Amino acid sequence: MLDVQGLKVNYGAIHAVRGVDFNVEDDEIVTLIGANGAGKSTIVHTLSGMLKAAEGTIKYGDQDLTKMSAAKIVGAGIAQVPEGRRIFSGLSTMENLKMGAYLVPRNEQNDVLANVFDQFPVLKERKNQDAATLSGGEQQMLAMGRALMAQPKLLMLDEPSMGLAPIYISKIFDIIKTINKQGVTVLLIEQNALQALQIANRGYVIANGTVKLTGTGSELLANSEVQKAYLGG
Amino acid sequence: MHTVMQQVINGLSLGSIYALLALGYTMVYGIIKLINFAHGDIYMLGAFWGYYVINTYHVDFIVALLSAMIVTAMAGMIIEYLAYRPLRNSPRITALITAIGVSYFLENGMSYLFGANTRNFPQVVKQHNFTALGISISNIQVLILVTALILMILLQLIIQKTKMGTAMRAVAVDQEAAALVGINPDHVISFTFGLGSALAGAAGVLIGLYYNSIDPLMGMTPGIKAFVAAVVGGIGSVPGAAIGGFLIGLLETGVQAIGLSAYKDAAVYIVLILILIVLPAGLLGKNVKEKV
Ligand SMILES: Nc1ncnc2c1ncn2[C@@H]1O[C@H](COP(=O)(O)OP(=O)(O)O)[C@@H](O)[C@H]1O
Ligand SMILES: [Mg+2]
Repeated sequence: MLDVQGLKVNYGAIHAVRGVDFNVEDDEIVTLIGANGAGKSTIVHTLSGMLKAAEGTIKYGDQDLTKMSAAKIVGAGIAQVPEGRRIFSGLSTMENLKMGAYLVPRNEQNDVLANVFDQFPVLKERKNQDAATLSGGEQQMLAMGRALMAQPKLLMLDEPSMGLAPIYISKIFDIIKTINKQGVTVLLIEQNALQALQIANRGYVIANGTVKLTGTGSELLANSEVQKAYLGG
Repeated sequence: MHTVMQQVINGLSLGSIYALLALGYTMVYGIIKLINFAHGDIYMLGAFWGYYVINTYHVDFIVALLSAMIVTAMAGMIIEYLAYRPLRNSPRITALITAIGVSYFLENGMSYLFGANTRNFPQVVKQHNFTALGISISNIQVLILVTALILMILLQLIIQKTKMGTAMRAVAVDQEAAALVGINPDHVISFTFGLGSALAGAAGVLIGLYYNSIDPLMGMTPGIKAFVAAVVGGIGSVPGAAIGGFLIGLLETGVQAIGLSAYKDAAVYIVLILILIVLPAGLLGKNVKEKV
C-alpha cells in the first residue's frame, strides 16, 4: 500500500531523515520506534505532505505522495493523528470531528460520525463541550476520532500514548487494534516500544534519521539490541 | 439626561462604523497574526466605490452597499494574494512593514489616479430627523446602526455555523493541524481577508452617507481607531472587536460633548493604555495558556 524508498528530508542544514526505506502492506499495523529526535515525526509529516522530501519516493498505490498537497493526500485516504494531539481548542468536540470530515461529502458524514461515536462513546457525551476542556486522554481520543472522520485507508498515529495516564495508554492501544480489525491499515509511531511492538505486525527501529533494524513485532521484541536500547533491559 | 441620550445615539452610530472596521483587523490578526495597516484604506476604497456607482449609475443605497462589499472583498483578497501570501513564512515584522507599504500605495495611488481633493458623497438616502423626548435621531443613523447590526449578526452566523467559518476558527488555532484534516489554509486566509474587507467596504459607504465627505486619506484615522477598538476588545476576539468599536465611538462623542473636541483622539489612546494596563489581553481576549 505504502512504499517509501530512499527518503531524505532536511530542515535547512539539518539532515533529519537520511535515506529511509520502509513499506506498509494492506491491513497491517507497522510501527516506527526510536528515541526522541530520531526523525519519526519528520517522516510522517513528509508522508502527510507537510514537509518536502529532499530525495526519494513515497509510493501510495500508483500515486507519488511527494508531489501531492496535504489536502490531496488526506483525500487519497491517508490521515494523521499528530504528535501532541493538536485538537482545535475553542471549537467543540463536534466541530473538531466535523473538521476531520472536511473533505467527506455531507451525506456520508453521519455514518462516519456514528462509527466514531461507537468507538469513542465519551466523545458523544462531550460533543458540545469546548475540546480544550477535555482531559488529555479524551483529547487523544478526539484526535483519533477526528482523523477517522476522514475515512482513511491508512491511519498514521504519531506517539498517541505520549503523556497519558497508564489506563488511557492501554485503552488507546486496544482501540488501535480495533480500528485495524475494521480494515484500516495503521502506521504507528511510538517511543513506547514494548506496547507498540506487541500489537504490530512489523516494526522499524529508526535512529539518527535511518532505519537501524527491521523485523516482525515479535522478532524485534526478542532482539537484544532493541531490548537494551528501547525496552529498558 | 437628554444630551446624554443624544450622545449615546451619536456615539453608537459612529461606533458601529469603528466596530465594522475593527472586525476585519481582529479576524486577520486572529488567523495570521498580521496587523493589516492597509485595512483603513479598504474602507476608503469602499467609500470611493459607493461614490462612483451612485454618481455614475444612480443606484440605490442597497446596491451601492452590496457592490462596495463585493469590490472591497476582492481588493482585500488580491492584496493578500500579492502582498502578504509571499511573506507567509517571513518574520512578522516584514509583513507588518509591507502592510504599511500597501497602505501608502492605496492612499497615494487613489490620490494620483483620482485626485486628492475631498468630495461630497452623493446623498442617496435623503436625511430626515426624528425628534422624540428631545432626542434627535436621523434616519441615516438608524440605517447605519441597523446595517451594522445585520452585518455583525451575519458575520457571527458565518463564523459559528458554516463550514468555512469553522475552518477559519480551526486555522486560527492551529494552521498545521488544519492542513492535516484537508483544509487548505490559503483558501481560508483568503476568505478571511474577503470577509473583513467586505465589512470595511460597507463601513466606507455608511460613513460617506453620515459625514458626506470622502477623500483618499479618510481611512487613516478611523483605521487606527478601529485598530485600537480591536485591541481594547481583545485582538483576535470577534465579539470583542464589536464591543471595542462601540466603546470607542461612545467615548469619542462623549469627550466631544463635554467640550473637549480637541482631545477626542487623545482620549481614545488614553483608554487604550489604561485598558491594556489593567487587562493586557483586552476585554475579551484570551490570556494564552499553553496546554502541555
Ligand atoms: N522544525 C524543525 N526545524 C529544525 N529542526 C527540526 C525541526 N523539527 C525537527 N527537527 C530536528 O529533526 C530531527 C528529527 O526530529 P523529529 O522528526 O521530530 O524526531 P522524532 O519525532 O523521532 O522525535 C531532530 O534532530 C530535530 O531536532
Ligand atoms: Mg516526534
